[in-house]
Amino acid sequence: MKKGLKLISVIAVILCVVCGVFFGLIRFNTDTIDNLFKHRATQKIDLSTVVWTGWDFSGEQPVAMDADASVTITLDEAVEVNNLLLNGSFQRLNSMKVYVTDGNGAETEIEAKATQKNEDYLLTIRAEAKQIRILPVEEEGESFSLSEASVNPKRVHVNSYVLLVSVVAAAVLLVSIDLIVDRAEIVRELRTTIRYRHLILDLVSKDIKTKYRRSVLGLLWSVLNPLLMMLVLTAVFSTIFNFRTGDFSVYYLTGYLMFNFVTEATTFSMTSIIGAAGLIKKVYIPKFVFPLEKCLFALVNMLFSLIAAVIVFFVVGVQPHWVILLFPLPILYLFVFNFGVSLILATLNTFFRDVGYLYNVFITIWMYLTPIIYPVEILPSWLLQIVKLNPLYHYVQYFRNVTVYGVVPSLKDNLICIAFSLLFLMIGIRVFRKKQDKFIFYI
Amino acid sequence: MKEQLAVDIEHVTMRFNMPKEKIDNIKEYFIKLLKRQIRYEEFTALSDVSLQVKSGEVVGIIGLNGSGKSTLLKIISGILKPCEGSVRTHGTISPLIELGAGFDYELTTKENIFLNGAVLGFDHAFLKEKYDEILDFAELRDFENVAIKNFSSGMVARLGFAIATLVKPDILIVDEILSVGDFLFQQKCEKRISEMMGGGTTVLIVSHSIDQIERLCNRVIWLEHGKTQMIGETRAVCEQYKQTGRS
Repeated sequence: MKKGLKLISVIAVILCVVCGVFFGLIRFNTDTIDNLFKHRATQKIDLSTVVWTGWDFSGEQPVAMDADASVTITLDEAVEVNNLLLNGSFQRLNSMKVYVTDGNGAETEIEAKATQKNEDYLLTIRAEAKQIRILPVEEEGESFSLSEASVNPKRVHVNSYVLLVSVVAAAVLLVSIDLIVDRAEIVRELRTTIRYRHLILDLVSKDIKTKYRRSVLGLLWSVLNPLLMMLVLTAVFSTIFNFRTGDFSVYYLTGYLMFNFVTEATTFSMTSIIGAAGLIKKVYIPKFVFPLEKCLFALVNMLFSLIAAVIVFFVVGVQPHWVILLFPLPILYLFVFNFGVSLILATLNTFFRDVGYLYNVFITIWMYLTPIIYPVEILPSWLLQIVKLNPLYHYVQYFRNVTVYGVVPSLKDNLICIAFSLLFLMIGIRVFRKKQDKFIFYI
Repeated sequence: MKEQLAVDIEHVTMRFNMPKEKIDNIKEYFIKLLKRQIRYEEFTALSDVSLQVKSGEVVGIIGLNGSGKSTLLKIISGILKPCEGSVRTHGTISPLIELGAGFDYELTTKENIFLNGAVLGFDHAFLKEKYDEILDFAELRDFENVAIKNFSSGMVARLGFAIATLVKPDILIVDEILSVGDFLFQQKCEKRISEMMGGGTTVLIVSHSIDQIERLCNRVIWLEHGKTQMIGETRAVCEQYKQTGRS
């Protein structure tokens, strides 16, 4: 019965992931999705929200446009617009320019493709937009009329939400199955862990003590290290690449703190099982105490390093916004994520020591896939899509939004972070629990 | 009412896979996997051992080297998981399998008392309360702030014993530790263990000293190459055991 349950669960999880990847990542023909989600496919825009400037619009009579005449379409929320159907008559579509306004109010020109369907012109736009402004380029006798406009923002909704929902579903499934199958075991493990909470705290304080033993400045290094790193990189980047010094230092430091938290927690945890060989062989201790302890150690370090951020914020003069009070949230999400990854790495590394060396290379790749030293805006859109698959991108951006930019995180931001955290935590717990009884033979 | 079992070992079998060569990197593993060269030699440390220990009993485990005594203790204390069979224990276990497990040799006596105490699941306040008692028992009052890497092995063992026997556990597991330290300390240890037995603690002892076993135990299990050779009254089993030694 247990076997059957497990088999079903594995199939369900695989299905979830496959569906998620399929719907989420593979590009669909728009029509297919239109059919799938017909009722939600297009969002009609009330023409009263269409702002016309420069000329009178009645919807019937084509009017000649002035050079700076433009049509602005306001979208309800910032979403990725896939195609904008302009029902009306245009002439020479390629002589138009399309601008989109993003959430921060910055306007950029984007490329738009126009195709003709009967009387309608279909304008395809791929952008995150709050507003779309269509501006004809100055040519004499240009005219257009517009009777109806509709946007089709759902594809990306489908994308990210299906991906998200399936990821969360997979994670939740894993939890529930683990809980159902081994609930007695889990309750016992939790009980012993509570008994060992003092051990965890003691190990953390021992780690802190031994890390800075014989160094004069001691724990102060946790603050100095990121500060010095920041100074070096700011010096380099502001001279070579002409980034603005103040902005860059804050930008870099916030990214660096988060990334360093991940690398410290994971690399320490990776060797934690091997390092605790002496203990594991001699006394019974729940084994996940060791990765957990290393993650907590990294957390303490990270919290000390936050002092560096506070100093820099003052020096550069970042205006604090009340949103900054949300800063523990991304740290908490990241901590859970770290713990999950740590469990996986600790397990792998116990059986194959090569993982440690590979992981070092991986960290370098990972660092470049995370916007730490470069601004997100310089990424071409295809690369941005790849970077967005990197969980760290979301944590780092979340942290920056909250601390530096004073942006209130949306539900979606939170969901993405939670989904990644839960997913890795669940995979970690499963992998670790499956293999933990064999550790002793490999250390 | 049936008497409560403190330790219930049912048909425990423990096998170790001994790879013929040591493989600990991925490359080698895959090459060997492709060539189908991963071979294990199975080594059975324990086969089908069953033992029921009633609460308050003192059970000795005897056998020659390599007969599976320590493996059995490790399984009981939860360090190893048996391949087959099950072990159920009731109550807190204090394993004196290797003294000073979890000592950090860079840290001082004081720090190690708290660290090792935590390893055994004691909380801070409790350790603070018992701190002097530990120091006195281990006779290390003068070495309170010395890193234990400078200690002699006897000193480390004393400290370990003092911490491990701080609380009266429900089950005490003793493996060969009474042979460390000078005879005065050995007597002290034995006295403490006897005190615990008087207090109703279940004790499992591994020892090569038949003398000691005969003195302390109610019952004895004799293991031979991982199999139960004999379980029974101390005297009968010890007689038999000594007989085989002579023949």
